[in-house]
Amino acid sequence: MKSHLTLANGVRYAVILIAVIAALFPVAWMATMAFKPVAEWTTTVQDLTWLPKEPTFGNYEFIFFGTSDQLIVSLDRSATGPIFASLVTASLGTLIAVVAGTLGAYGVSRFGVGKNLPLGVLQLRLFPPLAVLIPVMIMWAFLGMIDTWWGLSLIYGIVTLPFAFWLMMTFFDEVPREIEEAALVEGCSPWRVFYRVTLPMVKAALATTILFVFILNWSDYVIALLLTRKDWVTIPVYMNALTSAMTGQMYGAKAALGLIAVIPPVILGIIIQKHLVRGLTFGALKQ
Amino acid sequence: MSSIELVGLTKRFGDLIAVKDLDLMIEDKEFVAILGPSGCGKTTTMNMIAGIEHPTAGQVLFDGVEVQNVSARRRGVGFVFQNYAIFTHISVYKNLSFGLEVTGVPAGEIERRVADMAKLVRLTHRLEWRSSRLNVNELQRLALGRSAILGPQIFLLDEPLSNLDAAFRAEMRTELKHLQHQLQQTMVYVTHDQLEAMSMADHIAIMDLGVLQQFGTPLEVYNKPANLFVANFMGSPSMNLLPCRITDEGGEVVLDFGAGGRLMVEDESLLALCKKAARQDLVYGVRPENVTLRRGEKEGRGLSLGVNFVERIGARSIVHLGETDHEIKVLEGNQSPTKVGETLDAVAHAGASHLFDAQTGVAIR
Repeated sequence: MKSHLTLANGVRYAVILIAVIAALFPVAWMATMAFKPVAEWTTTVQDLTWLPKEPTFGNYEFIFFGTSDQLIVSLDRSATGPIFASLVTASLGTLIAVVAGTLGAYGVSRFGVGKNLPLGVLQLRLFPPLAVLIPVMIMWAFLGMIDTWWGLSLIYGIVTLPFAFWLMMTFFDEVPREIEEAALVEGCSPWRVFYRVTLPMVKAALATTILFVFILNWSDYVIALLLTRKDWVTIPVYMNALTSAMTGQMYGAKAALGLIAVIPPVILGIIIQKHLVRGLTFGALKQ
Repeated sequence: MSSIELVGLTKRFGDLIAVKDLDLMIEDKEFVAILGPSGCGKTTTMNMIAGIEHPTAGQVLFDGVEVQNVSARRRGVGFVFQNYAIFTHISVYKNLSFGLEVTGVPAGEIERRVADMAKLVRLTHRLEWRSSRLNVNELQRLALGRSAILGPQIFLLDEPLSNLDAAFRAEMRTELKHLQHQLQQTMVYVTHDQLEAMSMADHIAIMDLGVLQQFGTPLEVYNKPANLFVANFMGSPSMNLLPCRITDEGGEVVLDFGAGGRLMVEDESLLALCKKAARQDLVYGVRPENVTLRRGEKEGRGLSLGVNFVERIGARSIVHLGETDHEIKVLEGNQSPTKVGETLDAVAHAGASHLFDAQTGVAIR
């Protein structure tokens, strides 16, 4: 068969190519920058290089050990703490949002309690979290939860709860009631119906929800900026602090940290990829 | 022993009355079909028997014991859903063993019973398959097996055959009846397909708009419909129903069909029915197979009507005669010589006529 390289196809591929380049360029730039020595990332236009001419782990050395022989400045904190803080708070926040959201969504979807509740929950997402963050900060300060792992996890759980709730509710709505009624008639208690039948059926949806919520929490900047000081500073906040009066923005160090920050969502994505690719097919019923 | 008795059973959903004051007695080991058009309340009735829905009023009794406060999982009924409700995320084996595991049956026994049931529903070669891979016919058998494996004394089936292809449906009808004999259960079968109900059930309960219209054996409801709804619903093609007025002309009883013509009543049984009629406005009914078309006979014996259309459906031909308001259908053989445009005498067989009160719709007996 002849390949159909018509004009229309050519244009189509060109557009796709441009989109792919636009999407991947910053990532690729970050990846190579992470291994460039300071001279290469502070350079001017004519010396700009794609691949590092002298690849180095100096940037990693700098963010993890605070000093590097290439940089005259030193850091008072290494990146280990923020990475750990991000992992803990994003994970716990995700756990809170997904557990509460799933249970709430199931209740609303199945038992129809609180007709306006779903909209009420959604409303939490209609204004930016920033709008309520100052009062939250005052409350958190009063409760002694500023710069604590539980304080940050809790607010992450609250802020992302609407996402988890709405996603799960749509999925639960799609699970046919008859499936649950069948299990009920066959001798299951309602709770058992939930964890033996319904939950396994929305497994793929649950995985998707976990990934979305985790990414939201993982990439938060504003909340962590306001609710942490020192001990539980997260990666985005820490990254912003990677500047110095002498050298300005430390792009190499930021790129190095950015490359690390990409890892957890990617790993999570790979783990649940099977479910994402398979899509959300609830095929128990013949419609 | 497991009879089912429904007493004054009523279910409301807001303003909608899904089932109204339903009384029904289903004997032990009986196969009862609940028949009716969609939205007539048959599935709601079934759900109340199973305990999935709670009645607004009235009682459900199993063997004379009230069960409306017993939860679905403790009633010990098997339920096959219209859309099967198979757990597609697990294997066929796991589907079959599900109910047994939940109720705490020992592992060895589970294995044995699953193997037995798989054989009965012919799924032994599919046991390890993920159930989402099954085709519709296999899903249907799995749904049956999954309910039957618990050995319920009462088996409820909600339109289980409606998704199957025609050939397999016929096969399953025989198989279901066979299964019921084997398992010795009381079966309640919801359907909108009169053929299924007629061919399988010992008794048929016909419902419309939440109200029980008639309860009887298949032949009873077919031959002696209690009202216009049943008369119209049962049978395909359906019964001819013609509005008429009863008049007395010099001692002769005459049914006046208006533009459809007039009929001097000679049939003894119809005459007896006419005498019982309390009102003049009636609906005359006769089944298409109980009418003979005659050519060139003397006038007055039947209704003289023009042929509009001849529908040849293979084994039979359906002849449509008369005008819109007084249209009647007559069944003839497949070699029927009737042609469009002919004017023929439609004569009802002796004893095959029905009369209904036009106002209440109730049959005159």
